[in-house]
Amino acid sequence: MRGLLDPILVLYVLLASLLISPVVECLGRSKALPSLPRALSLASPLTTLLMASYCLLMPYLSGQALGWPIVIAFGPLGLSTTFLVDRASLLLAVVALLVASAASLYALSQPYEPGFSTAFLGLCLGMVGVLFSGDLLVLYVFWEVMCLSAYALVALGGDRKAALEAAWKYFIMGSSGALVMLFGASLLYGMAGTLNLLQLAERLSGASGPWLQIALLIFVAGAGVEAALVPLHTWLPDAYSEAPTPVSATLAGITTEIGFFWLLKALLTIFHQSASGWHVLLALVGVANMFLGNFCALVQSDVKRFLAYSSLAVIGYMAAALAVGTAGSISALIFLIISHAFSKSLAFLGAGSLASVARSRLFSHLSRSRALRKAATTFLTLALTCRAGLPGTSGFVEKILLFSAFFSSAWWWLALAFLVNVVVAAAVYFRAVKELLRQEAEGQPARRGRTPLPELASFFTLSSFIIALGIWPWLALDLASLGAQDLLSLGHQEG
Amino acid sequence: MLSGPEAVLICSLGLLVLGLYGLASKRNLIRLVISLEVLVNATCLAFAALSAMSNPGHSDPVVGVLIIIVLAVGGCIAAFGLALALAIYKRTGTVDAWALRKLRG
Repeated sequence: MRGLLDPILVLYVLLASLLISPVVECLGRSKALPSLPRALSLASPLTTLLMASYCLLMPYLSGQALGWPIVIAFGPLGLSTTFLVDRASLLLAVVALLVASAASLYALSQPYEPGFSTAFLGLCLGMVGVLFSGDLLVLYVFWEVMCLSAYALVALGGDRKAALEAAWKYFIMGSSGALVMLFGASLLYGMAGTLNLLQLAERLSGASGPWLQIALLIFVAGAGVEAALVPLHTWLPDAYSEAPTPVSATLAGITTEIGFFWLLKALLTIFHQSASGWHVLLALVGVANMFLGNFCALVQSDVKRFLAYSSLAVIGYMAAALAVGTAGSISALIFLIISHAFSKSLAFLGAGSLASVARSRLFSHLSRSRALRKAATTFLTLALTCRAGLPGTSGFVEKILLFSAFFSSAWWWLALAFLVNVVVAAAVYFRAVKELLRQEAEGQPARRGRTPLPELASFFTLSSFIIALGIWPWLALDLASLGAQDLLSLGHQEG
Repeated sequence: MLSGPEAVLICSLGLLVLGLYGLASKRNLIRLVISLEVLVNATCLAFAALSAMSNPGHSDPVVGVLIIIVLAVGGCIAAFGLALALAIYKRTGTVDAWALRKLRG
């Protein structure tokens, strides 16, 4: 019994809307229905958001025992397409669809680029599919759907020449990463004779040897491109900064984190009881990400590049939390992904709104056009202070959780690196706020302007979650710790 | 003397290295797409060889399905890459990856 709604229906609805979107695009070119594609790219994530929230919250609120994780197999296990839905994946699917809905709400006020709706729905389908995938073949297919849609969306950026360059860089790095990851999967298949995640975990438990380590390394390197682990991160600042604003908000908010989440799921499931050494590797990469991200963010004058580099630092925190690998650190990691998704996408949307009226992304130009977009400035400031860790916002709770996870583990040097980086990051974000709110020397009369209604609605949605998670984080914390339990139990399941 | 599947596996490793070398060293956008396709084929060959090694005498249907799907996805990658290369060519008039130097730092 899975209750009234099956989580797999979310995928069906997204797939159906992706399939009809080319027709809707054609209809949208006629003068009668110009806004039909935008309506579809908003309605589909919104509907699936409601469905996914129902699947997650109903069993939780009614206390119904469902036996998580749910395995949905089409055919006999091991010979079939398998989906594996645990509470962490479902929670992140809800967050991903919420961020996507807010981003497409924002996109209503922007000029429409032909093809946006199809690529955006492909991105949503790919993200949810990657989260739910239960074997490596399903994973690869949805991974490519997610990545190809993301490359296409980046290429739709305003400065077309720079956007195409960023999309090309992202395409070459992302595709080669995905293929290298698939090569790693072939080695795992050679060792275990299956591609099913649970069966791989069972058959590889206790295995050792150089091939397992090589497979692990290839797998981490392949997935690490999409997850932007240093030194495979070079596509990220370009892609985030050149993509259209709703796309950078979705990519920075959740897509990269989903890439990281899959790496986490693979490490905790397949390699949990076999290959050792990934903890140290990941901790070192995490520290490199933190320092590189924060120090590069410190010297940026372009607001979108600044936000992109600060995302790199957050991925470092995530890698460090995964390296610790306790139930506490994994649930802190899930909470961090949620909090970062809302605040970073709000920051990108606010910055994009300001940049569109300033016609520049430089901090010095943004502060001049503040009066035209007062609401955007306020919400951007809120998002930046949340990332800095202001009490009352989700950023504060997330940092407390990570601190307690690091300091209660034996990884003291990781805790120290995190502490240094939190201080540096706070300085970085407050510098950005200061630049943004700087008073102009000449008292030239400021022009007045209003933030468009769809933009305001998306800002309100995301900021209400940031504040709600800061004041009353208990529901999210509870769901995150249940998700962490599910993830940790995956490595010990019978296939 | 190597048996059939082992030779195929070594061949697939060679193709993987060749594909990665192509990605790292080539400047022409079309050649970069070809290098990606070499990686697709390396992966398919590796799956075929490992399937034959672990199930001697019969073939695993999962691997057959996988190879067909991966080849189809590889076709999508090539189509997308060529479309992107064409768009870049129309904007810049060149297919030299080193000419794309706007975004640095």
